[in-house]
Amino acid sequence: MRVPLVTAVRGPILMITLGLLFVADRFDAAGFDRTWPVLIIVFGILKLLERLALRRQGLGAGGV
Amino acid sequence: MRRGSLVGPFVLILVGVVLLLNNFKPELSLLHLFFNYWPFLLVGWGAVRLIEILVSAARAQPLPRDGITTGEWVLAVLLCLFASGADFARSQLPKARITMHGLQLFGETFDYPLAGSVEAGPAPRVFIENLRGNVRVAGGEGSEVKVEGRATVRAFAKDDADKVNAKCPLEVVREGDQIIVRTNQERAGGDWSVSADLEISVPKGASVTARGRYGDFDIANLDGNVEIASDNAGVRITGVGGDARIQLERSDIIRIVSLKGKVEIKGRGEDIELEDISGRVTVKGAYSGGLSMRRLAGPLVFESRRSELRVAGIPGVLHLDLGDLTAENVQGPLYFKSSSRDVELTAFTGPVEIQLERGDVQLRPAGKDPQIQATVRSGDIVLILPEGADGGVEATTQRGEVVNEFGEELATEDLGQKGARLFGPPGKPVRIRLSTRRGDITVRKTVAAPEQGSPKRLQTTSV
Repeated sequence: MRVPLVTAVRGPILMITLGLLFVADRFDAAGFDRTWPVLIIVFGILKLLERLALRRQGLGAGGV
Repeated sequence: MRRGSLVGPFVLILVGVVLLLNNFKPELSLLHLFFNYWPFLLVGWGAVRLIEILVSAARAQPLPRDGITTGEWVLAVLLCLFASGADFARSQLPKARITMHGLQLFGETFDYPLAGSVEAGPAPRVFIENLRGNVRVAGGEGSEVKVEGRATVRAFAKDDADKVNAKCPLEVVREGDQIIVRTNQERAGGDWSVSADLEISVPKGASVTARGRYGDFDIANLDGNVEIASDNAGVRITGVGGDARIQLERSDIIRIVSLKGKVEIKGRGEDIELEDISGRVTVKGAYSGGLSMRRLAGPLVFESRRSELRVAGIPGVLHLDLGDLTAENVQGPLYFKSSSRDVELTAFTGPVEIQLERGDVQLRPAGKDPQIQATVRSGDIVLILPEGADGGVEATTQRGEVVNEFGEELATEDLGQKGARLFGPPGKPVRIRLSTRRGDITVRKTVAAPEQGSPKRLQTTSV
């Protein structure tokens, strides 16, 4: 089955988020010890979008 | 077949640019650049990958299941661990310096004596420039500035060392109203390791300004001001009549004892110890060790990345490190704000305001009518009031218990879902406000021990 775009970009987006959180930590905006849950939120949102994309793909193929 | 990623070539270009920069601008430290900007590597890495995938998607090519492979994640996590760990170690081990110039690690050391003096008058301004090496300055009788010491050159052969040493003569000269003591090490060129340890005696009325990159400063017995700026130094100042201004990028210790003027400290380092300071003390920066303060007659202001402390005076002792603030016999107004620390204040006077994200607070005021405001997001608060204290108390916790061990003057109220409240005595204006979102609040009473042995000691009643 074709890999949805949202699945493919999940890794890079998480990597960019991780980098931005460390940038915020490095430049005193907000400490990583406080901002790390953002990673879980971003991961959750991407997972949700992935589900939606897969369901749409599944419906498009006439399955389930 | 999947096309190779562009991350590899980008990394090669970046490494090349950085090394080129290092060769043309050696004053830009590679490690410094890395430690300050490494999170952008992650952002760039993710961005390159994202662009690759979007390009693939636009061309209707098959997309990878994992935009970032497991191996890359392992590498990224290692990078984070290494950079955070090294950053921590850098503040912990300020002397662990890594040099990029291999020559400095090899060869032999050759020593050369240094000496010089100049007539200076009773209260000269002395400017000392010694890039590498320790400097000791002592005030004394007489009216001349006298320098003795030793230059050390590291080289493979004595001829080379002699030539390098000849390029960096010691200068002790008068320029205008200043006396200049200069070791001229920058003339040796970047690949040579030259350092000089100096013992400088100056008239007692002198003011001293010292600049360096690596080496300790020990300054004693002066009536004037002291100003020190260095990339990496330990500083000890004893018996100074004027102000002290210290700016260090790194330091293992800054110790100042018996100073009559103001103290201003900026930068990064480990420990700071101040004792018997008459003027205002300002400390700004990141200090990974501890701040120990004893007998500060003037106010203290401390500001770091995530903490702020202001105290009107410290007749007793105050200690602040990464985990705790403890103080005994300090004079308010005291304001302390921090993200994570335990606070223990004993025998304090004057108003106190504490704002903590995380940490336990124990407060034991000296007077019977203390003025306290303590706000904690997560942590317990214990207030120990002297017997006969009559200020109004208002304490609330959103998730936790309130415990009244003080007596019948105070009352507790269960607010159900909203937590619990401790308040009283009725009719008294509220002078003590305590609040925590998650944690217990306890108010108890101290009784003075009998007037024997140590009369000032206080005991806590156990209930």
